[in-house]
Amino acid sequence: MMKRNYKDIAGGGLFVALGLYVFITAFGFGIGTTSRMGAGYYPMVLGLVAIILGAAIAAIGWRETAERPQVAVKPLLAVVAGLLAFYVLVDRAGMIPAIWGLVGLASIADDDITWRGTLVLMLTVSIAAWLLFSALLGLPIAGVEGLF
Amino acid sequence: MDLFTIGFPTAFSWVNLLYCFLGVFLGTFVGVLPGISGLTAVALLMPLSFHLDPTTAIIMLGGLYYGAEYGGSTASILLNLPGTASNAVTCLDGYPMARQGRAGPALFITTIASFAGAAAGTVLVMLLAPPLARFALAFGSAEYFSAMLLGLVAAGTIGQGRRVKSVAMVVLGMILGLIGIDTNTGEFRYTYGIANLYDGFPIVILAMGMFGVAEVIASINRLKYVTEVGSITMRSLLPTREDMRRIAKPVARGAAVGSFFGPLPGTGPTIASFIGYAIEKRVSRDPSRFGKGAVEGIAAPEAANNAAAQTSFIPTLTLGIPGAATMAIMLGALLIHGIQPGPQLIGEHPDLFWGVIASFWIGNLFLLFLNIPMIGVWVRILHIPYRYLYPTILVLICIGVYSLNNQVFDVGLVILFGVVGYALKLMRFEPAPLLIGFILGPMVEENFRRALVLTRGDYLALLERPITAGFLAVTLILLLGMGWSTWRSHKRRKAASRS
Repeated sequence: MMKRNYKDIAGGGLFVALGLYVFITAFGFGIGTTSRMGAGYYPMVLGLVAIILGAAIAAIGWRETAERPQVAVKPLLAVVAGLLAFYVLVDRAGMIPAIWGLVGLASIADDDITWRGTLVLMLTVSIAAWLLFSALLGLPIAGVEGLF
Repeated sequence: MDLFTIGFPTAFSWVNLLYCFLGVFLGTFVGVLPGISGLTAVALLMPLSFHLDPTTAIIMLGGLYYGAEYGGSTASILLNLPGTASNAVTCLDGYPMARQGRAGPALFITTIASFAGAAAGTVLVMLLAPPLARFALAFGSAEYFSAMLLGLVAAGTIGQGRRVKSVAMVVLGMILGLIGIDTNTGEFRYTYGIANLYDGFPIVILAMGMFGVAEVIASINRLKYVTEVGSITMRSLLPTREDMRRIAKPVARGAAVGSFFGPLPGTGPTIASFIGYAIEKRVSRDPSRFGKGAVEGIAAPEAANNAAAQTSFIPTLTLGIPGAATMAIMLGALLIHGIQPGPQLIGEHPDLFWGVIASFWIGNLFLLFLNIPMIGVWVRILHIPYRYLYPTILVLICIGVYSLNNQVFDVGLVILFGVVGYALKLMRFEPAPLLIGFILGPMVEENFRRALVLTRGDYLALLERPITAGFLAVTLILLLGMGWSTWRSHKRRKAASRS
């Protein structure tokens, strides 16, 4: 069985979809004329170019074969979870708890790390970051919200 | 000479010396480590540079950029893993040299070649930038539009991937650049009523997500450092007299190749190093030695990528047009400091221009010192496991982005771009052209529409301007060339699959 180049088919398809969206919404900004352009003229052209390029990429991908990409599921989920923890915690709880969440969750991605290594990393990175950014450089981020 | 009257006095202030050293030191550090590119490092430190004087900021970020070119060869030679993309070609002969027990001379030669390349590149910046800026002073909107269009099309030729996909990434960058208020009409485009998007978003956010976060996700569990890289002593560094005789010409050729490709939009250090290697292989009397530890094969590419790193500052500082993705970030840094890079820069901020050039000399001397007597330190850095490194990188990304505006919204954008960037990486779309599209896209639109207002919508009047017509002609030739090579390789592949 022939395996098509699904990377390019999917990628090209996404570009066509994005291009269509930009092309259609561009009309809402007012196109104007070719010699007196409105705010939508340039987005309209970009959308059109994206559609053409996406279609070309997908068409080439359809006619060739390639291996399917390997998604690194655990690193992807762990890193995103860690970043989301920082996103949620930094304003509410402060920089240090946010770093604990980020480092603790992102570390799950690695196959070799031990829970002790993670704990040491959480402590050292959070303290070093607080010393560098808040104490030394004076960024207005609380270490622990309401405390320091 | 402005270099001596303005440049060195500026660069020799304590603050500038300190930040120059910090830049090249950290540059070597991230260069040595595979899995963090110089671009990510520049993006990471850019928010921290906001509270610095603009000259100091560019001195530090610049040092980071060219310092990474030095450090990158260390991992190529010792581990067969390029520290940065532009050192990938150094693996071909550097790693075999290390396997033959000649890691020391290989490290010495790459440092010497890097310094020679950087020196040649810096001389070229000094000679070319002022006259180019004077020439560009006559540029109007039409000329800028056409020069930037050329930059955009050339950006599509970046990288090893398929051209159509690189061009698509440029367009994606331009589409992301639409977000915010349209400067000509005041219309809000793609802001979705979110106040944080009214002015668009800074390029650092895009770079940190697309490069930083995506790079980390792709490297976890893949980068396992070999623990036995051994130690390098000073004595083992010295190359033989035969080595030195062999590298003289390759270094000169490499420096010339790098100086040529550095300022061209869309090329930069990586392509320069590959071309430098290819040329050496072709002119060599015995090409079969290449890939088995030929000293020419590490000397030429290292001279080329360092020369290109320095000369890539030429279009950025004189025209305000970045040739490489890192330069796009550098341009963003200047804009945030309220400095409009362009032909007026040398005249209006001579201390910045000449101070930065002087810092190139000082920084490269620092690098010579950092990379020869202190090479043992960097070799030991390769022992740091990636599992301790990447959570730290993520923390730096988050705090750096948060500190831009103290808005958690920006961190959210980084998460979004990180996921999108990883998906694009899986589908083999290269992110570098995207950054160039993002910074040049809005400038192209603004200048084009302003030029049309000036000619009252007359397109032919644009072509009557000789410089504009010249840029547009080159752009057209480049586009046709790209189309032709895509069509030809497509036909060749078709013929190959038939037989």
